[in-house]
Amino acid sequence: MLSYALNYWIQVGYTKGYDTNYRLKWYAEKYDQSGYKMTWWTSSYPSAGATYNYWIRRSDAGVWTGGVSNFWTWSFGTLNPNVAKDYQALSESTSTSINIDGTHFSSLCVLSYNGIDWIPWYRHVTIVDPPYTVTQVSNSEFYASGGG
Amino acid sequence: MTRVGTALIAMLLVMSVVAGISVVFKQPSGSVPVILPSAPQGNGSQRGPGPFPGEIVPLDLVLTQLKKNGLTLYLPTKMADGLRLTAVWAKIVDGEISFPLIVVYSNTGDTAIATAELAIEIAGNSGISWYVRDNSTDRFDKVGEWKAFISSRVPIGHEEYYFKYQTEFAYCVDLQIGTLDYLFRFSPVLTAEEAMDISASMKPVALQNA
Repeated sequence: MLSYALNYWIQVGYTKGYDTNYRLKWYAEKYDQSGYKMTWWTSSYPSAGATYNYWIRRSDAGVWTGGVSNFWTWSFGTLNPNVAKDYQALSESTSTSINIDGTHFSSLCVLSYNGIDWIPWYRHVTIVDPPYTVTQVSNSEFYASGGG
Repeated sequence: MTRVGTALIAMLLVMSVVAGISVVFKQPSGSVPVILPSAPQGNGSQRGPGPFPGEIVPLDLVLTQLKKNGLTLYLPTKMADGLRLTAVWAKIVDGEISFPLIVVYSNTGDTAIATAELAIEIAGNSGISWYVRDNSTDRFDKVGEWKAFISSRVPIGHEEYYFKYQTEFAYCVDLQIGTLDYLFRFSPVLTAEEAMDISASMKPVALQNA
């Protein structure tokens, strides 16, 4: 999150819906003072049941990049404002009839001062909307399930 | 929109130096989340972040915990007619208040972050992180004795804001006071002159029951 008051953010993830013809697709998006921008990654596609490493980082020069390791990288450029105030990992549905069993986030990390080491999340707040549930493993790992 | 998730709460004053996130995510093998357009406010967003993962807390609780950490909270001492402080939003992590904090003011009793007439987002000070995108609307300046970024045209990503004010834009001031950053979002019910007067009136807040 760049700002909660302005609702500015930068995000990478995957989605499936009418706008992807119900095929899994990776995307990157941002919203800042310059407005909203989103891109689909169309050179490769995620597979159900597989595990991927999603990442976002800011360079020393203030340029943001993100993507999925070994698959794609996207440059967001410089954002305005250009500092993250918070971090989120989430699964989202538009109907409680959607079952998300098997959702598993692990190795949630933040980049350290030196720009090299990734440090596991050491604090967190959990938000759960019924009928879904979250099973905490640690500050840096959780499962989500329910719905359907 | 239904969500499950978790948000990292960075420790006081260190959040600004962390500039990246990495997540390993296993896709569900059966039904997977279907995400449809949910934010028709004109920013085109189809996904977006989760909501602020906090709650409304007493101001004195915030002041007490900031004081314990050697921090002083500043808030405006001048306010436009009718506006009053309606809520202080904060995340509680392991029993402690954590940044960012959001203080909202309203003349209609509105306590929502997205729609209150004035919202002040408070976080660790990492220096002004804005740049001048458009010389006709943005500038660096001083407000009172503090360094500031001022913009008369900042789009707001909350669809509720658009529905309430019939514009997606706000007047914003970002102030650096001591070790904290104060980002003001002024809705169109406030004039630019009022926005500057309010920003310049920041003073340390004392505990009422100290």
